[in-house]
Amino acid sequence: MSPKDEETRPSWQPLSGAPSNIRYTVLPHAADFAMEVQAPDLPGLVEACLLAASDAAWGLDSLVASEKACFDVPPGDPEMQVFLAMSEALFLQDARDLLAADAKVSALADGGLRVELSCDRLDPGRHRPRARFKAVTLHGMDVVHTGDGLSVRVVLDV
Amino acid sequence: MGRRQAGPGTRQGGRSGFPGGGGPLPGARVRWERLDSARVLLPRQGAMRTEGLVYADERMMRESVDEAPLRQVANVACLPGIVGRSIAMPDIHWGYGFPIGGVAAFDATEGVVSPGGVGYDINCGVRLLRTDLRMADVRARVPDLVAAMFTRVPTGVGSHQRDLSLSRPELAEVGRKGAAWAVERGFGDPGDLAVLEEGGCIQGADPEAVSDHAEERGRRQLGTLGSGNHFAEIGVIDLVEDPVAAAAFGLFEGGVVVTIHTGSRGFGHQVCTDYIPVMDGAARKAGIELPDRQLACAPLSSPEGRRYFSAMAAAANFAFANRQIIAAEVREAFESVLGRGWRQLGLQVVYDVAHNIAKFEEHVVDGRRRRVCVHRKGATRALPAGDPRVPKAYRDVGQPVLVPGDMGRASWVLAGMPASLAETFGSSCHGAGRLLSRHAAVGRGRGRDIRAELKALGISVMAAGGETLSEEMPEAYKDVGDVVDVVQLAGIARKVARIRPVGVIKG
Repeated sequence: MSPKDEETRPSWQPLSGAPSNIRYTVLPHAADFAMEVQAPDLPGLVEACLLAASDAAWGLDSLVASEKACFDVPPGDPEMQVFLAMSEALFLQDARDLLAADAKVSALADGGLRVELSCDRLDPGRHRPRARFKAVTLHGMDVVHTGDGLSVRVVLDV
Repeated sequence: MGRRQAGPGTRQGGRSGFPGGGGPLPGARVRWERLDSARVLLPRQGAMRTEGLVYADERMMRESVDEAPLRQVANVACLPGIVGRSIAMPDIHWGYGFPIGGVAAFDATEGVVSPGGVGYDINCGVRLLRTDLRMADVRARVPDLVAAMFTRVPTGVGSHQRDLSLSRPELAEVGRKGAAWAVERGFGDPGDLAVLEEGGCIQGADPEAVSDHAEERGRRQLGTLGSGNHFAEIGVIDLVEDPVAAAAFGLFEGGVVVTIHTGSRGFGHQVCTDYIPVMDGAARKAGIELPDRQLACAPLSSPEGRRYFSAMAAAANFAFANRQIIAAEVREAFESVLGRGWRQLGLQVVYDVAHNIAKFEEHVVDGRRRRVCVHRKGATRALPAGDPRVPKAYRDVGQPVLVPGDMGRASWVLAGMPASLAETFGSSCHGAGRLLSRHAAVGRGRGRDIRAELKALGISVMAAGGETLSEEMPEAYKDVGDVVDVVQLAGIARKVARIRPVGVIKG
């Protein structure tokens, strides 16, 4: 039996505290974990990707923002910017135990992006991973226009 | 700048064949033809520079090998400098860029190196330990052994080694020396190194090519198992098919063994992550058209290619050291429960293989000896008897090939056979191969008690993650027996001994 025969597409997930046009869904037929994210513009899309990954991994409702982390993403094509921003967030999680509870992304004049994360510190007593992401991939990633904004599919290595 | 300018200057409309990318044959199915009962040929089509060769029987092609991984075999065949065929083992399944189970060799001067051909978990691999113990004598102690291993071997995502936080210079030494670094610090003994692939150290590592981020991720993770499909498993040899080779490997029916499956942890993941953008740019600079962006690569002769290889080798050596330390933790666990030293227990390393790696090796291609960079992504080296790279103790029987299965059925120890050198750059399969995605497996496990199901089979399990047992349930994988049947049929490797699991720790 093929994996694709096994799965059905789950429904769109809202993101806690975010406008209703920012949402994500877990995709079927992924070797590890794939999601599709929608938002009105590129900063919003990167923001939504960061929060969707955090929601899928930990549940945003379980996270309490207590520390800040800020980084810039260099100019590049939108897929690479999504890749770099999400990879940096995973680095902060794995190396510094910082879990993204909220994210604000703004465009810089040079085409780069500024990412400001509000993070919870990993506490095994409070946080139980629902999915264990180790890396972001570029596999099949393609930022595309939809009727009312942008959409991207992201595959995460588990 | 990539294919498009930054900002929402994106393509209108649909996507290019996700998953698997657009590939060399947009819109067309990959053509294949059966060569014999174990081999399927992908003739050159589209932009393929060479043929593809997939080891699979008729049932596998019908039931578990679909279009996406076949397209990935074809995609790899499009890369510049590929030597011989683009190959996939019978545990083939969809991966990032390269398929899992993929093997491809590239000319050392004109070819490319690709992080997608190695994987994120650089030198993910398997180590097998044997003992003098008979399962019949220790069966009642297995739960205690599992608990002792679970206590000593940190497991789960982000798990840390409390007693082994490394400074930057120390981590650089790990990257240069691999398993020998661990032995120098008392984890095991020098005899272990003689039976590790490459002696537990890939040449060409340069810690200067490793980013600060990778070092920070790796600093606290040496000696940890991690999560996902990684495990340490106590097993019993329940079938010996080749008594001569089994004896050479120290294996006997009823004997207790321990299998360790893990890799380079966050260190390797970060190295791969760091170099994907670098290779993406390098590929464009070199004018390499990629059928799938995750196949980002650079000429081996380019600064980017050389630098990635050096960083990748450092991560591979981190993984060898990681498995060396975990083996020492397992030995401690056995000592604490059984009250005897590990040497008294005969708890010795049989072998240690990498199954996510790129290595420079010499192979005869079309009658000519060539230096190539062999990418094995979910594939295991499998050298036959007589090859000088096989440890002396095993040279008469062939290199041990360690093929873990799922945690409910069996794993296999094979020995390399001559067809591996003739056809697959000395490579064989690496495991069972997933049948269900993790998502599907979790869905199928809902409402079930997988731990209890395994206990009913006589298997004790401890896991750090709540959903790990569902993701890793036996039915999420192909039957490894089917996989090894095909490699034996093809003459790549032969069966030596089967291992039945009795106790497992998971991340």
